Amino acid sequence: MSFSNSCATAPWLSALKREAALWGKTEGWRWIFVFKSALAALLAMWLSMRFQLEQPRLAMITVFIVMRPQTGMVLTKSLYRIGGTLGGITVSLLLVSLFAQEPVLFLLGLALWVGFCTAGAAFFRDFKSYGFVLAGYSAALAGLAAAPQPHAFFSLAVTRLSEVTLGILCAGVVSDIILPRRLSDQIKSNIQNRYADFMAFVRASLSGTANRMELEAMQLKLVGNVLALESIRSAAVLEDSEVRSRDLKLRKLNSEFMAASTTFYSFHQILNRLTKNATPAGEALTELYASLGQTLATPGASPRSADAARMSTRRIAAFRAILSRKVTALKKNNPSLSDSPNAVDFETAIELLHRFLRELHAYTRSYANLPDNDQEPKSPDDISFATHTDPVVALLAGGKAFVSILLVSMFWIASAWPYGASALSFVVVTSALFGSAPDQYRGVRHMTMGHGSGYVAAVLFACLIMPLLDGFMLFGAALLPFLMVGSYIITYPRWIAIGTGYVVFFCAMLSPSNPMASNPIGVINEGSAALLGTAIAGLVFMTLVPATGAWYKRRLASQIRRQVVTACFDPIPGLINRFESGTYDLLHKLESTRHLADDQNQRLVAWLFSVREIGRAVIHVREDTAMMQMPHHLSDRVQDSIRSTALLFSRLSARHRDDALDRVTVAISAVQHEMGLESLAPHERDILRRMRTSLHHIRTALLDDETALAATVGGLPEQTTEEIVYAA
Amino acid sequence: MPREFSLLDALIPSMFLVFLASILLQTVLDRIMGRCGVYRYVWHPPLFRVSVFFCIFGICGLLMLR
Repeated sequence: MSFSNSCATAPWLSALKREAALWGKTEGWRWIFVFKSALAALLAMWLSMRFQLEQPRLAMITVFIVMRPQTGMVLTKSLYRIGGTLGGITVSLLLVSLFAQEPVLFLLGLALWVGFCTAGAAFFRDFKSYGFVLAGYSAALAGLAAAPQPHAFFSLAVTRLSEVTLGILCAGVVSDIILPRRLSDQIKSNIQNRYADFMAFVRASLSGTANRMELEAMQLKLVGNVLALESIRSAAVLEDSEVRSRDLKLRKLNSEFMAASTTFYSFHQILNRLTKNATPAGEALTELYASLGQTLATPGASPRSADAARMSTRRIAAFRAILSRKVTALKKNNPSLSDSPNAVDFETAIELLHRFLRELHAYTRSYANLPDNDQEPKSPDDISFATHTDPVVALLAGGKAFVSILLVSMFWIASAWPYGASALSFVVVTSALFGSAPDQYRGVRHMTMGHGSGYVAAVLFACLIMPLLDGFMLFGAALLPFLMVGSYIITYPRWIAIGTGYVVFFCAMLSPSNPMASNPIGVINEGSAALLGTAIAGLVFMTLVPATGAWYKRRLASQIRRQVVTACFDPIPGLINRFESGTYDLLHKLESTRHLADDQNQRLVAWLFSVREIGRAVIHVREDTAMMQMPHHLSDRVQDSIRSTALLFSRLSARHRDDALDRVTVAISAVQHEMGLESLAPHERDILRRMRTSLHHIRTALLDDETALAATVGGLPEQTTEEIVYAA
Repeated sequence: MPREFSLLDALIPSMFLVFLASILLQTVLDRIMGRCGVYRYVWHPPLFRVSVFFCIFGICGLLMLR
């Protein structure tokens, strides 16, 4: 603490205040969450004891499975989870009534159901994913408990259902009512950070002070931010009706941002290609570039305020207005810019710059207008966020859960193991959570660590502390520190799996019951069985087609390339947004496994960047094609070039690349020829000019020898290499 | 009003139905109030929401059991 404060009255007091404010910002919310989840768990335990439910631990475990620092709306969000639980219980009812006498068939059916639910949890996101996790988990819990005594099944199922539902309701009500961490605040700070980051990114790349690695890291951070906003936004729709009414604005902002950032990337790429070969166009553009950098610099005012954004909007608009004049002046000073190869290059870059400015203008304007409570913008197109979860990968996660359940069940049946049921229920819980984890490898490792530490804590508690306790109050007080450690870990997103694993295992092993009973031997036996279950599920998930393996990488790569095929053939309305959000989603997926930063991963990121560039250019060509009535021979040429680009990205080979290059070149000259005709209306000439620049952009991207495409397909054929010098 | 009713021979408390109906009613009310901007004048919207739910459930439950 600093005592050098100039405040005359009690300097330590103001310093203390500052410290406290800082603590409230960085650590405070974690502690609020810790106390809230401990409170919810104890409340769930107390209520289930009060209602004389058999297993208060189920309510507690459920609290920790569903409790997250973000708040959602109590009832609606819980309905998904309760729906999942109901579905699970119904299925277990079906299984027990069909196969009560047939353990093999029963376990097979259970494995199928849990596999299905794990696949669902991996495929969907957020609360839908939770619904699937709980459907699998509650089916296993109820089914396994009831299998030995089918006649009592119905009441057992109802009790399980009540326990899980109680846990869900306690978690929901506590997290929403006590000091809620409003998602709308988070959305606000997310948007502001992104705006500031993006502006900083643009300025940094314009001034050329940052190197390539830094720029890429900044890009990936922005990507993470987009996805985070998308995920909070969809949860916030349930939380707050005010957010709901602002939802369209947010989605528009997101989509404008993605568009602007891709165009900027393309522009940057083109500029790099031009300056690399020291063409006159490159030099001329660098000048323009620097003046744009000056325009975007905002001296004084804090850059993230709406006023600063409004000022930027005005400056960008002014720059747009004088850009054409500047370009004409540049052309006059530099006669070489009008020569045929340079002219197209220069025009392409200028067209991209125009488009970037237009998009940036729209983005800053939306950002500046966000705080206003005016009417909704009219949405021109479909601007929903397209997420990409590979159904095959999700099914694979389900298959892994299925296999691990079968393995444990076989062992259980063969050895008549008295603790088979607890091992099996942990296989179910862990595989559902593994399946929905973004990075399965890390998920498995962390979950195992969490369960191991939970086991140790539970044994210590059962042997040393439990015998001393007397009454609920004392028991709750003794539990509190153990639960708080777990929830504190959960507040760190990287370690969610450790925290959840620890706290779930601890509650499950301790099994607070009514009346209270201390049974250390039981804890040790059951804990070993459960740990074994976790370990088997972990082993299956890590070894059977591991998520970091070559197959998975290939799959992801082909999914990335398929984005271009989408851009080539999907219906045009809303295509840009669909394309952009899909690409962002894939990029984010790559980023979440980036701690394994190896060559392969790097190459995938490089692929994604080049897909982004070419895909956008293809979309613009298609939009322009749709805008005017073209003669047959011309539209055929353009269609041919698009089709061959799609073919190249669905089947990579040097032959297809050369073919695509040829066709794009043919299309460019066809457009050029058409532009020479006298009979064209000015706006048609404009469209053709734009089309030519987009086609040229595709061509330069295909010719670039530093992209992932060139690295995979191999060097360029002889006759084109010399072209690069001026074509690029 | 009977305390329980039989659905396929399983006894279900009629309060449960009231609970479900209250959730439905609360959701509709929430939408309407959100649309009208009522929540802008409320200090703690989630608490308000839960309280409204308890009021609805309480009133309906008491009416049913009367």
